[in-house]
Amino acid sequence: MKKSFWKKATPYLFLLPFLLLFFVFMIYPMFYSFAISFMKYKAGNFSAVGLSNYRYLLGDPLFKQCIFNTVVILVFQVPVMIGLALILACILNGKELRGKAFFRLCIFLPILIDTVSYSIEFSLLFNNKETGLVNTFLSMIGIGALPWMNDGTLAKAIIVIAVTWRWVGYNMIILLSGLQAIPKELYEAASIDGAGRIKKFFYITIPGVWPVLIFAVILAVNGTLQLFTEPYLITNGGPLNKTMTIVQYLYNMGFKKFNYGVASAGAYLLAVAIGMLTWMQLRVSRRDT
Amino acid sequence: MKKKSLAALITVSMTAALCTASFAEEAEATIHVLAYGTTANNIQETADIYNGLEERKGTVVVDIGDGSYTSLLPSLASGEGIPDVFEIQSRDVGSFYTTYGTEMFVSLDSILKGEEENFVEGMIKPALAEDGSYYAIPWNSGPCVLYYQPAVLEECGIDVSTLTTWDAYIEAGKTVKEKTGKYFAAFNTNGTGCDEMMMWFNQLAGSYYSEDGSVQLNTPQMHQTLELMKEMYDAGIVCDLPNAWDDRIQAMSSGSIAALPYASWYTATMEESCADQSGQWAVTLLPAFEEEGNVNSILGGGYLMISASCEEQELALDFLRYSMMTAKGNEINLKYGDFPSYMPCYTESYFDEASEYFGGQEVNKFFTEVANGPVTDYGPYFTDIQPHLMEIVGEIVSGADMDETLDAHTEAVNAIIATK
Repeated sequence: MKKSFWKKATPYLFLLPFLLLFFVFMIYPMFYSFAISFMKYKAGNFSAVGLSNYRYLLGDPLFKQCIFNTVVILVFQVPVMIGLALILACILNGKELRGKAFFRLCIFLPILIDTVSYSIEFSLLFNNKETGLVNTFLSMIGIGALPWMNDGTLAKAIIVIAVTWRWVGYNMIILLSGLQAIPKELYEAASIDGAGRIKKFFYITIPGVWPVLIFAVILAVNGTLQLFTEPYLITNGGPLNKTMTIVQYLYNMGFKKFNYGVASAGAYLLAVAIGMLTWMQLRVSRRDT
Repeated sequence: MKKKSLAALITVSMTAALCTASFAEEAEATIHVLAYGTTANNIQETADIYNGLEERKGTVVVDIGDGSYTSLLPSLASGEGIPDVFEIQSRDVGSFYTTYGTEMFVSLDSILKGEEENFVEGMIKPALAEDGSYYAIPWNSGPCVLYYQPAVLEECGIDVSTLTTWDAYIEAGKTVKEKTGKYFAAFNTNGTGCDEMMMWFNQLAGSYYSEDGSVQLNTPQMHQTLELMKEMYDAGIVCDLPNAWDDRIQAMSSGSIAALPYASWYTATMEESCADQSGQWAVTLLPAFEEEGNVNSILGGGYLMISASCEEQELALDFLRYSMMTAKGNEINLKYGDFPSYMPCYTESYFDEASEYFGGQEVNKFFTEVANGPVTDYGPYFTDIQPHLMEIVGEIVSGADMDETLDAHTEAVNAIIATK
């Protein structure tokens, strides 16, 4: 009797350290910040304010602007990055290519560079002045220096370019694993039936890689919705808040304006939005496979 | 057996060592000071000297934090693990009082009451809480001056003593820009910086609050400040700084700025980042908004505060007094470019040293002459106001309507304050 209890308990005992940490650093803060989202913090004390934090957020033009910015970045960022990753994965999966390991490593390397260093690097590359490498190049080919940091659209473009540069290799590896799981026989059969490369891509590759593709898209959408470091370090949310993302808004609200209640409420709105989007994506993936 | 006795010996000696350590800690009062950036080096040197004094009340240990308070705020909010003494920026003092409550801090009345007259008014007044006590001691102040390159002005035939008003300054700037291609001012215009705006607003003794305590940004002083910035920008004499701090350094070191109205603490950055320009710079008074108008302004600076959870408050108070209110403490402050807020030390001989970087000019002496700028109350909500100031500058420079912009931002700030 005693022995069987310990036998049953063993796996949970092994899990216990993780579960404890998970509870202390994830579950508890999640519930606590949910409670804080209905409170305000003043003079060292929290007091209940009902829904007023949520009401403030929904009426704040800056919060709307940040949602808009995040959505615009997302709409460009995700398709560009996933599309590029898929193309690269297909090329690297090809039979003809030599030195695959080398190219894979090259494309994967940016992910190993830490976010802060590469963000600072990009802010230097896209400097407004002629001293910025990109502007120097644009001047050389006759386009002239562009006001990267003073134009909302250009500043958003920097964020999309930077994030794509860093994450495309990561997504490529994920998609490559999906591509390698597609049976070669399918391609051979299609060749015998006279299908060309394009047809094979749309009728075999895409359906074959679909679940992995959806997984990559969900990761990318969630990642972009939580974008913070790049806009914080490259553009500092500027020009005129045109690149301020939702998470940067929450950071400013909590750590610069000391408004923990509104920041927590915003975090919950974001969590609900991410949850809904993920659910929708999973629905789409299930229906089509 | 041998092994066992060896183990026993080790155990005994380790226990003994631990006991000694904890005895030593008990015998010696210790406080931890959290500081950041170059001021951390400053306070470290002060602590080293203090720890060597015979009449010291204990040991001071300096911990390095960061300017955005990432380690300080969570500890203040939770009330756990707060450093004994910590540094805050001058504009945040009111916000700290309101957000965390003054009972979180130790009253500094015992060292500050009766000494108010000895501090720069623009620094001591904002430290007075509503309950009539002080919870923050002024450290470094930021008197503003005009940094300029004498050789460039001479080349353009401009006598610096004629730059008495901002109007004259703009005209001179146009000449300099035309003849040398160099800018005559620099500020951020993409909504991510507002230092210069705050400097001019303080020069005009503006207030961010109306009499009823609500935020009011649509004021005559704000109009004047923004009109000046717009006029400068339209005259083409402003070097744009999209990433304000870094770009200012870059523009200075590349030699594209011939004059810069800015604060005293920038000397340390200039000497470090533009060391090759030694001897090329000088300082003079800021121009005024009208003839004979005020030429003083204070930008930035900081305070030290003691946490109520500090167990060695006597030591903390003594250390603050030593580092901020003695000739030796302020000598170190000055050495690190932290211009003291405590005026009795202004007569000390170390203020008379000629600066090699500024062509032999006694810059610190000069700063003492312009130290008493107007008082700007940054109040309890400046952390909410500041992002809007940045946006306002950006919007006005790009041609937005002044009243509409200021009213919209006033409304937005008051809306967020209502949730507090």
